[in-house]
Amino acid sequence: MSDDRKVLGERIETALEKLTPRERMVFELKHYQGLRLRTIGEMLSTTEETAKNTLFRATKKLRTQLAGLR
Amino acid sequence: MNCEVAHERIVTAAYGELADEQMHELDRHMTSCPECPREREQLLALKVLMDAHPVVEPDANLVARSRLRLEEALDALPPLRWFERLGQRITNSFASLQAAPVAACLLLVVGLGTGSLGGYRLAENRAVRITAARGAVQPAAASMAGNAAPAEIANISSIVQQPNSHMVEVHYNQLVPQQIEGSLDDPSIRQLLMLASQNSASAGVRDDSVGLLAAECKAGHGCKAEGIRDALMVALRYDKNSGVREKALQGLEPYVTEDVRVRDAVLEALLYDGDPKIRTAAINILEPVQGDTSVRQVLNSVANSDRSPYIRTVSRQVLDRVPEIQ
Repeated sequence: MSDDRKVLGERIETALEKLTPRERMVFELKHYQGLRLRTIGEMLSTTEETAKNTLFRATKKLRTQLAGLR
Repeated sequence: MNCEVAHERIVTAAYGELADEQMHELDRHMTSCPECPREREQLLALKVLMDAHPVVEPDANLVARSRLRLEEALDALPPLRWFERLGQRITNSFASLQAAPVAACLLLVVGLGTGSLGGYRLAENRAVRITAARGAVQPAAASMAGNAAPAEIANISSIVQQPNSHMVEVHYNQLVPQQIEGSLDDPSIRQLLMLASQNSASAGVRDDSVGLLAAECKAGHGCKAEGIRDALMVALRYDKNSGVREKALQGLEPYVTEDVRVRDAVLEALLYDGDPKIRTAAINILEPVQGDTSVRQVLNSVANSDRSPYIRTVSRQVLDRVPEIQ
């Protein structure tokens, strides 16, 4: 069981590494930190709309990378 | 709503950022679309998966220790040499420009605008200076000429500024009016007459010079030189004044038989000259060579198509006479 979790963790880490720095930043701030898109936009000196689009791209890439795990 | 918009909204909704109104629209779309509910399920599965692997927050003590070590390592670095600092600054400048393309474009536009304005101002000042200089040269030229007739400035050949002073040396050429008197047989007089025959400014001067040259040729006073003949042919072909052309035609009359170029010039006058008087004169002058093939062809053409009925009739009469002459 522990080995499975380890493999899963590695796969997720690899998928996260394939994102661009900005996509990873937006995804982590939204998913793990729970910040609002408007706040993320301000933090990255961009608009809420851009942050939303970046989040959409990040989730799409992650789903492609992690397709086999679901 | 199409599926593409719906997919974006599914992500926003999954993270609780979709407005109520848009949420209703999305729900309505989900009921009618077979694909989008699957998309939402996959996204929710991803969320669950990612939650299973939370990002590990580093220990606060570890962060503090790392920051301290980083600061110590930075302090331990030797100071950069001047060229390294310069290179770093240039790299940073380029990086910041890359990061701000709009600012770079603005800088470019402002630079171009300033350059153009500066160039315009410079050209304007220069034009003012040149105008002022011209104004100054004319009185200077007049003063240099003294009591003599005022001379026109032909051109400026060179300008030399004396070092460390406001003195400038300007070399220029003047057009000085002169006169010459001599016989019509004098080659220099003839040269001047030929020049005068091409004087586009004054029709009177052209008329006088061509008249004199033609009279010399008609009188047989040493008019063998081709220069004079050429000058008369040029006048016959291109002079705007019909009086000048007529005199040139009369001057060329003695050479119609011996010089083919003269004959061609007269034929051209017969075909294309706008003045019927000159065309009629050309027919008369061509009389000695009326049997010539080229002359007959031109006479045929004139007899059929000349604008003047009189010239057409005269041409026909000449053609009728040609067999008798031959």
